[in-house]
Amino acid sequence: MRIVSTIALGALALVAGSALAQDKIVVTSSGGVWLESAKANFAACFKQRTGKEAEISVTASNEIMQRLRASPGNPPIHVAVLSETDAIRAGREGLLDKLDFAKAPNLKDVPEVFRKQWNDFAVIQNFGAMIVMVNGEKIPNPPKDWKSLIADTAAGKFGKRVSFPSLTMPWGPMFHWFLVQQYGSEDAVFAQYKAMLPNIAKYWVSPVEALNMFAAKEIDILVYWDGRAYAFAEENKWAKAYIPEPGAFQSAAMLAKPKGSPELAWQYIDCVLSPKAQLGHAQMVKYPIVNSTVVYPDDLKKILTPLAKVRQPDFAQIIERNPAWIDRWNRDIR
Amino acid sequence: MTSDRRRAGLLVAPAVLFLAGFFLGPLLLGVGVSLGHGPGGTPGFGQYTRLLGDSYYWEVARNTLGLAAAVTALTLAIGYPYALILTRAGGVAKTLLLLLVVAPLMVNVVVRTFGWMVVFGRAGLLNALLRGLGLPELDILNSWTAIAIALAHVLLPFMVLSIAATLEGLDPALGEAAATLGADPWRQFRHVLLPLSLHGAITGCLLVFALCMGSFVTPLVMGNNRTMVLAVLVYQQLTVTSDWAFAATLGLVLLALVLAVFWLQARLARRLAA
Repeated sequence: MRIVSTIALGALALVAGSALAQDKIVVTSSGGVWLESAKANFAACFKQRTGKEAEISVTASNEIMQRLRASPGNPPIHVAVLSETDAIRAGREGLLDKLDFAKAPNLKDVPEVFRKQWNDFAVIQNFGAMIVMVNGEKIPNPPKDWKSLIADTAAGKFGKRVSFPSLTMPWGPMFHWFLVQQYGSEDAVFAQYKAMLPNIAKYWVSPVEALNMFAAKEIDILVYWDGRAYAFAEENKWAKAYIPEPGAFQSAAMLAKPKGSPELAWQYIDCVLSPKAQLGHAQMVKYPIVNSTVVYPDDLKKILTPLAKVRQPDFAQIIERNPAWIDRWNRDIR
Repeated sequence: MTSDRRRAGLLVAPAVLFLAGFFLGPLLLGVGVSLGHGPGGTPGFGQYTRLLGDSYYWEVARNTLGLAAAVTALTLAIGYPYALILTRAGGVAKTLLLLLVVAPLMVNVVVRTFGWMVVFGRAGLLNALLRGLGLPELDILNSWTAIAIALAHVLLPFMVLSIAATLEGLDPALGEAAATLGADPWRQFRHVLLPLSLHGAITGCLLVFALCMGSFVTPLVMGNNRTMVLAVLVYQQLTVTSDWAFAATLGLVLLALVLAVFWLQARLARRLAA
C-alpha cells in the first residue's frame, strides 16, 4: 500500500512538474552584457506578450549541441543561440525546426542573406566582425589593410606585442577563411602565420585572455570583435578600434528552434527579431542586428560595422576543411 | 555465511550499479564512438591507426606524460615537507596551514588560471618584482614552466592531504623509540617516517598524476602549440572540428596511459612494501 501511494505521489509530482514546465521556456544566451540584453529586451518582450517566463541559460554553442543530440525530439532547450557552423550541423542532423514565417512574422523583415546558408533552420540574431584594436598612444598610424598589418607584424615592426586569434578558437576557422580570400590559398595564409609567429605575443584562444592582455598593455595590437572593441575604446581613450581594408568576416549568433520544443518558442524568436528588441539589443551589446526596419541612432551607427564591410564566410566549406586546417595549425605553427 | 554474503552483495550493489551505469556505460559508449565515422578517419580502427601511426601524436603523448610527471614531482617535493609541518603543528597554526593548502580548490579553475596569467605576464607581478630588484625580466607565460607551476598550485592539496593523512596515523612513539636508540633526526626520517608514509605519498602521486593528465583549461589558456597535451587535443576535436570519433580515440588513449602508469606505480608500491 505504501509503495502504491509512493508511486502515485511520484506520478503526481511528474505531472505537476510538466505542467510547471509549460509555464516557461528555456532559452540560451552568452554571458555578461549579452545576458543582460536577453533579459531586458527579449525575455521582457516575451513576458509581455505571453505572460510567461523565458528562463535564460548561459550555455556555449557546443554544449547546446551535445544537449540537443542527447534528447532529440524532446529538447531541454527551447530556443538555442548557436554558432554558425553548429547551426548548420544541427540543421543537417534534423535537430531543428524550419523557420516558420507565420508563427514568427518578424522574420519577413530579416534579409535572406541572414538565413540562406542555414537552409532556413536558423536565423542570425545579430552579427559582428573581427577588427583591430590598437594602443593609439604607441601606434598612432596603424596599417590600413590586413595584408600590411600582417607584413608589418612579420617584419617585427611592432615588436612581440601583437595578438591574433588562434585557428583553434571557435571563430578561428572563419578568420582563416577570410584570410584565405585575401591571399588566394591556404598555403599562403599558413606561411603568413608562421612568419608572424616570432612577433606574436600569443595566438589567443580565449576572448577574456585576449582582452586582458590588451587592457594590461602587454600588447599594442589585438584582432578582436568589433562590439567589444568599440566598447573598450569608448571607456579607454588610449585604445582605438578600426576595420582594416577590405573589411572583415561576418561573425554571428544564430537563433534556432530545436525540434520538439513548444510552440511558445516561436513567440520568443519573434520577440528577438522585433524592431524594438533588436534596437535595444544593439544599443546594449554594440553589435549590428538584422531587422531591416530598424534605424540606428547616429551615435550607434558610427560604431556598428556596416553590412557592406563584412563578408559572410562559406560555412559549409569551413566545416569540410576545418579538421585539416586545425591539424596543420597544430603541427606547423609552433 | 550465505546470508552474510547476500547482505554484503546487497550493500555493494548500489556502488556496483552506479559504477556500471555512470563509469562503464560512458566508457563503452566512448569505445563505440571511437570506432565510428569521423571527418579525419575511417570507421573501425581507422582512428586508432591514424593516431598510432603519426609521430605528432606520439610527441603530444610524451608531452602529456612529461608534464604530469614534472607536476607530480614538484607537488611531492613541496607537499611532503608541508604535510610534515602540518601534522606537527597544532591549534591555530594547523588550521591556517590547512586553509592555505586547500585555498586553491575554492577558486574556479578558469579564474585561478587567469590569476596566474596576471602574475606571469610581461607587465605582471613577477616581472614588476624583478624590475624592482634590478633583475632582468622573464617571459615564461605560454611555457611549460608556467603551466607546471599553475598546475602544481592547484594539485598540491591532493598531495599534501594524502601524505598528511598517513603521517597523522603514525604513532609518535616510533620516532621517539628511534631517537632513544640513537638515531639522529635524518635517520629517524630516512628509516622510520619515510618508509611508513610511503603509501600516502604514492596515493598523492597517483591522484596528482591522474588529475594532471586530464587537465586542459590551464594548458589551453596558458600554453600554445608548443605545449600541446592530449586533453587539449580532445577539447579541440570536440569543440572546433566536431570530430567525436577522434576525440573519443584520444580520450581512450589518455585513459590507457593513466592506467599503465597506475599499474607501474602499483607494482612499485608492492615492491617497496616487500
